[in-house]
Amino acid sequence: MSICAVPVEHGMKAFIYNPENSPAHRLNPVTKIISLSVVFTVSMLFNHPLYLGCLIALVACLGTVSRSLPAMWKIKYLLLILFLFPTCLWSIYMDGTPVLLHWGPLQISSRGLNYGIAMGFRLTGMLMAGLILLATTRVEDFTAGLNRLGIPYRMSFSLTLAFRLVPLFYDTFQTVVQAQQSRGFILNTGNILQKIRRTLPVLIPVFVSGIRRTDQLAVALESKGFGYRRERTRLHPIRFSRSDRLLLSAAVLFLCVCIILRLTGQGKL
Amino acid sequence: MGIPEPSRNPAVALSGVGFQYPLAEQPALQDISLSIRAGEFVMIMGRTGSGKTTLVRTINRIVPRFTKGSFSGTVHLFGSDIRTRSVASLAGDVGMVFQDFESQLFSTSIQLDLAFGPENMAVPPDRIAKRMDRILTQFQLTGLRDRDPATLSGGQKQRLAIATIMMLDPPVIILDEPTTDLDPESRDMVYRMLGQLRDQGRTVILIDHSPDLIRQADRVVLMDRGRIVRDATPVELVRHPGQLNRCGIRMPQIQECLWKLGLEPALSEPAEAAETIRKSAQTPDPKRYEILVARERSPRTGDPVIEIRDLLFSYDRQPVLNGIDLVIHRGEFVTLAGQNGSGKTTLAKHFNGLLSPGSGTLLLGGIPVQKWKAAELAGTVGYVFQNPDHQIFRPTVREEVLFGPVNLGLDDREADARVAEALETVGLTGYDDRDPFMLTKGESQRLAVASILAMHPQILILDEPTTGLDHPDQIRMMDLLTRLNRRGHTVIMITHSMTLTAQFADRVIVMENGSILTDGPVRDVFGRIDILIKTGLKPPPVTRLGLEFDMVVRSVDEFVDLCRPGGTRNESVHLQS
Amino acid sequence: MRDVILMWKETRMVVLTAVTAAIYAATVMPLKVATIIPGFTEIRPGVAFVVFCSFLFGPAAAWGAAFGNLIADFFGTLGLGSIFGFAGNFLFGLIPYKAYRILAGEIRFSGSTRSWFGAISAILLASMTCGFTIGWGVDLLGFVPFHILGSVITINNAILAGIIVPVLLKILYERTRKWGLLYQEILQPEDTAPGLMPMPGLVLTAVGATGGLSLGFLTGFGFLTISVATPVLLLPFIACTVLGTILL
Repeated sequence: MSICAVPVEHGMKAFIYNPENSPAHRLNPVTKIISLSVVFTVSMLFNHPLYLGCLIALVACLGTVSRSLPAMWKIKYLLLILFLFPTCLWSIYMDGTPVLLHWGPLQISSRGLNYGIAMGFRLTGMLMAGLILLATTRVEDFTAGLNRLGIPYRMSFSLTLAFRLVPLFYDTFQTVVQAQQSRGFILNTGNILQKIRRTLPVLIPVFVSGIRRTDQLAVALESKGFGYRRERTRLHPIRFSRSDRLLLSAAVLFLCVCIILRLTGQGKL
Repeated sequence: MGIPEPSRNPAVALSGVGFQYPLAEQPALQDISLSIRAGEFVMIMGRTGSGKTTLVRTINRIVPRFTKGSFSGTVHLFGSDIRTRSVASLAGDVGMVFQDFESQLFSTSIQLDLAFGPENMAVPPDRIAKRMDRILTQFQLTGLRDRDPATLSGGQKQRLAIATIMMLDPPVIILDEPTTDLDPESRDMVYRMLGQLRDQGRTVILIDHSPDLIRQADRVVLMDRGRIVRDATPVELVRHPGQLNRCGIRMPQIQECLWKLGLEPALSEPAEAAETIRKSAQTPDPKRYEILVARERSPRTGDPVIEIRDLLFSYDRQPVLNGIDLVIHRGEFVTLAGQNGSGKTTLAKHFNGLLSPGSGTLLLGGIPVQKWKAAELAGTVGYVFQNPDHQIFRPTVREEVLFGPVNLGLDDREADARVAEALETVGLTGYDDRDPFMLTKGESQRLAVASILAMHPQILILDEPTTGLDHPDQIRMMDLLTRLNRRGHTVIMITHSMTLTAQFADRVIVMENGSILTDGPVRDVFGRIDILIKTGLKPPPVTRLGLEFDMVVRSVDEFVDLCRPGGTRNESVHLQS
Repeated sequence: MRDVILMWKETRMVVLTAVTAAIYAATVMPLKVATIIPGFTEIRPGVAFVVFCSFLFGPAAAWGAAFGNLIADFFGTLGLGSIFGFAGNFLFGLIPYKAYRILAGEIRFSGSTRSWFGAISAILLASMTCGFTIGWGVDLLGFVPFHILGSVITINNAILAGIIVPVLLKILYERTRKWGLLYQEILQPEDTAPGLMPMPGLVLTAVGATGGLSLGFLTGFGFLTISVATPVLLLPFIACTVLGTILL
């Protein structure tokens, strides 16, 4: 079937998490979320391709240490497209001098090209940093981290539950497609309007099966004491080890250095 | 909470309990009074919609705290009134396990799922860890601590669901059809676990449709239309088959045989029952058996419709089917049996082109399946999926059935005629404008069959069409399939039910680990009991009773016929309601 | 906006949020009809699902849409853009039921002419607000110029939701009501009370989204030359939209 963007053999279980035991896996999720925010902030400080290129190199080093390069490799084409797209778009959209290339009404300036490359680096750098977090952190640890950072428990739990339900509903989705196929239905045919309408025989049963589970899930949750007390305990409490403190200090230091650089006018196109 | 000291107070006491759902015309429960002693094992039985689930849900306040409606009466747990308690606050007192195991697991690792309950009750982490070690061992999950529950089999998931409840150590455990979606091997395992819980002194309340289980229970509560119609020990219960029948419950097979032979229907194993029968001088007649078997041997198969040679199929680089050779003939009634994950559904999905063989050939009517056009294939091989919810999307029953014929490109008149015909065949005439989303389980299952029948497929494949149905609906479904088979349809049914296979099919194919383990006429396969046992499948009780006399018997009536050629006691009891 | 916070105390709403998010993620991703901008926007009929859920589940759909989008980002596109995806989808799920209530004068969808008017206007407004927010955010981060992504998302969402949501409403609204899963039946009436100033809020949201989109398109497509960076130029409109939704 041509309708599946996600390779069928991986199903929806193909989240990025890579069960290893690297130093990054052992860090606590709060440390990782804060460090990720530092990378995001720093990539927003600069818009010079050189500086953002250095940042990407740094992220790649972190990727090696945390053994998350395979995760990046898995989506290499997506990363490439996401790098090229802003690069091309800004090169064309932004005018300036000197003009490097002329092609009909389109022209590419050196300023536009530099800016485009910088933006491409910025986007891919962020995604690579994001991938490190995803590859080294379980969903529960991520939501526990959010919880620790002030997100209410019921909210972070709902996100965890959603992650758990995705593969289940994806299976339902595939079954529904097959059940309708067995009734002579072909999903992806006709013009674009027909194609859109032809998703209804699939969307409706998936929706109904999903919401018919709602009460069942809610009842099962409450039967296990969900919402009984305001304070709950945690099997694996979030602890700050020495390496957590070390990395956090390094991240803050790095951020300060970058801010100073930026204030002195460095790294700007 | 743990198990309290024995006291005079019953574990659970309901008095005068009534309940009505907001949009319902009839009350779901009426004047229920029930007292269950600590440590008792009570089974609650009744047909779908008789109020079993609503009843047990009053015990941990899901009704009426969570499911709103008009509630009356009182519920006491170990002597204390629970009217002011919330569902969550009762988690340590009453554990509840549901049919849908997918809806009871919330995390992406087993240990986090186990910790969920105690965390909610604010149990300190070191105590959770200690308790978890114990539970992991008890439920044989030790090596799986970090596994994602999504990767477990159905049986493992339900075992985990029970384990997560046991982490809260509740003295009362309620299980609402815990084994409906499981294969026979996992079912037996769950039942063994229930025995363990009872041995620990816990009070166990079980809702289950399977009558062959009642021997395990101390008491059985029969429900009908929101009322308790009988509350008795299993021994007393089987003395009144009429009442069981009126409540939509099948009599346990061995007891039915004994009863029909005019003997005391004691709760005995096949061997003991055989002894009783021998003593009564009503042993089945070998000559009659020979005639019966000889009559069956006469070939009634037509041309081959499905021919498979050396079929291989892999999923996620794991081989699922390895080397299937199979021929199915026109007009056969075949069941595909085997544990979950043995490859039954994967094989069946090849028959109508939903899956394409990795290698090997699959001929449909002599032509390779790849050469068939999608629409022609759908009009030749009909596949009824297990859960009707996975296909219903139109506002009326008529439009739902019309979907297939329209996809085949039939004109309006022809399509309408086929809808009417299909609805009549499945017994849903007059349902045309009904809401397909609001049918009962049995009705929507038959609607699913109608929506396939309307395409006039020669071959009908059904994936577990009786799972989750009560006995009257199961029989209605099997009668329908038998009728269709007599009309000339080739019927291929995937099922875990050995009882239905023995009674209705011509031929059974047993699969294991992606291969066909054994394949042949039902009587031959059930005669090779050692092979069946190896795959965790058990012949139905009546077959095991027959084997005591070296005969392979397929149904209670057949057995009784062999014993008493002159007819049976009390013919007025029709167990097919 | 109180209901967006208060809903969390109901277990059913917690579950509906997760269910909306999971169905969204599990159907939006595989059901792709066409690609417009690779990696950024594709025609995925599943997005209409968010608007539909908004009419049914109210605030749970807003959170569900935001979570669903975040989950999709967990397949490899987690970045600062995720924040704007989160916000945009949240508004996409929040505005329909809020705006509907004001425009149709009722909470429940009755199928009357006025309720259809309310629903269609709500779909349009939600699509514009979503496109505006994400377009602005992604331009702010420097990834894609505002007018490109803003226009594509707005049009895409409006067309898909416009085609699919009415059919879903017709077939599923009353049935969901019978199953007891409409937000107004799960939450206490005082918890679903409208915000401080619903009508001014609606006007502000509409002015913010339409004004911001128009100005952004005029400069972006070269009909107007203003020497201020687009994110700064459109900031007042974003503020207007945000204030408006808070008042709803």
